[in-house]
Amino acid sequence: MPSVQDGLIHEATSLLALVDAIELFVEEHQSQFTYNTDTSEFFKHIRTLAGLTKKRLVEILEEAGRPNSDQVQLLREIAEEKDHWKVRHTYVKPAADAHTLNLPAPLIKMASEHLGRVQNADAQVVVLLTPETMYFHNRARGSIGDKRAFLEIPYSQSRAFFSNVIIYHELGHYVWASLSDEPRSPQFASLVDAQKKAFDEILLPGIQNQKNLEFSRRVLDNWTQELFCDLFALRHLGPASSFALIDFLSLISTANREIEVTFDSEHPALALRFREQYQRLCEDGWVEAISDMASDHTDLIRRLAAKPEEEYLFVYDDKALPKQFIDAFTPVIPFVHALVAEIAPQAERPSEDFRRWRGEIEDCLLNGVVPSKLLIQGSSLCPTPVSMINAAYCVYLSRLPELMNKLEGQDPDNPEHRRKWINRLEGWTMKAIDDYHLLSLQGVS
Amino acid sequence: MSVNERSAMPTNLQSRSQYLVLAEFSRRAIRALSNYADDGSSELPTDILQHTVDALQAVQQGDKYQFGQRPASALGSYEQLRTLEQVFRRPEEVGEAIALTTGLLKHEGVRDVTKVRKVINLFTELQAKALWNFEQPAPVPSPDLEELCRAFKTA
Repeated sequence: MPSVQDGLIHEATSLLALVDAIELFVEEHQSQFTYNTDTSEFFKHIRTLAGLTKKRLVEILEEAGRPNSDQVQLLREIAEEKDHWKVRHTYVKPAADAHTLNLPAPLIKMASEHLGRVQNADAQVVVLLTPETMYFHNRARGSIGDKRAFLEIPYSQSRAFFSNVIIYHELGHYVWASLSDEPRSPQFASLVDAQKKAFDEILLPGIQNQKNLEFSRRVLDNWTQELFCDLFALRHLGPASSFALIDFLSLISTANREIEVTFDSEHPALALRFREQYQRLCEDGWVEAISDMASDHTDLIRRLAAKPEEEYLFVYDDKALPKQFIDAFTPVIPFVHALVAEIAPQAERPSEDFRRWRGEIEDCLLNGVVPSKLLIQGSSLCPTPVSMINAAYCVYLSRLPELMNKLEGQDPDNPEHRRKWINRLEGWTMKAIDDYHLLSLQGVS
Repeated sequence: MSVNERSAMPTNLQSRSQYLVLAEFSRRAIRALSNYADDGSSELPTDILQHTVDALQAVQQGDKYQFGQRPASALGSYEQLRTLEQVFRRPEEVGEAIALTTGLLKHEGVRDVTKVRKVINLFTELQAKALWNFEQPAPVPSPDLEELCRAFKTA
């Protein structure tokens, strides 16, 4: 009958094989592709962990050979270590797919810098390209390191720019998860107090059992978090983040009256989300700056924002649930706005730079010129990346035919032609953001 | 978008990794307590024990999911508290675990090896369950919608 020691040797060998294979995979990909700084750091971390695991395996086998050693406990330690490597295994492949040729690299770099400003300076953004058609964020504690925000991007969208603006919403989830760590921001503490107060006063009296208590708290928390993420993205990127959300959810074609006002267990109703986004856009000076923009997107935002609260519904598992859930969420909303304003302060409104230079940036793009530098009355200046992104989105949504009509043989109603020029527009925008980073390094911007 | 337990990897690893953090915490506790029991010079791991008592008390009070929960701290997340609840199923088991652990903390100066071994056994069970849950995470319990609607008189 095999002894525990035999089992230990067997498991240690199996773990060693797994670690070696992952290490080799990383090494091969790093020799073939270029990765951005944060992903390179992640791979470096994986290789360091591989070295530590191998060292520990040697120690464990030595320890197992000593009299009175707790071999069962050592076996469990190997099992735990193996589980950590199963987690790492899952992250390494999609991260390896996200090399710089497969990414909107300037946008990721910008997101990483923004994250560094609202979190700690060493926070990192690692992109994972996945087979899901949905964007996700995640943060596997313990196995990989808390300072890494993993953004899951559908592989088909990896090179796009406009659709990937939505990563700022996902980044919001990472920031939200970090807010509960100590020390807490004063506004986050106030928000949690507001959640507790609203919950205790409005929902708790009607909750009879543990399952419903957990469910109700989770729902209220999910809604708060989703709204935070929307406003976090909007605070950093302005209306482009709302436009990206509309495009990603295909709301122009799929939204209907019932969907618009329905809360599910994870998300507030679109009507409420866009009402709050609209309010943020107003407060941050964006609404005025895009007031002349004619597009279905701006019309949709205004229409959703105007939906009366009385129409809101909460539906779970095809069943309408008590409206008290929505009543308990309403008092929390102002605290979400205050929290976003606290963690992303704005010395100067980004909307102001956009309002000032939007016309010139759009003119550049409509003439196929990368708008990194604008020539104004004989001198040059650099608009901010946020202004460039929003101006590019405005061209994309409302002036693309103007660009295409300047070119022979290009039909704005032809999807193939249209796609080609959207790709170009995205390329010019990314180049402009990249230039901004380079000019910043030279102290020009 | 928010994370769903049923989503494909690696998204669902976010919550599953909480079980590994708990397994690691338990392993550290077992090691520290074993050293304390076997070696006269090691100190009682009071921080670990206090964390455990706090978490057990949260389970006892039915507060597994809280607003502003601190998943970063050991035994702070919903998944970790739920694992504790699975190990100590009956209310009296939770009470006994609290009494045992608190007893060690209260008599820090007295090296009662029998009691220490009992606490080690608690962590061993917790470690095994955490590793199991990593492989086979249990779904979040569904709410009782009928009762919820009845209670708010909208059914």
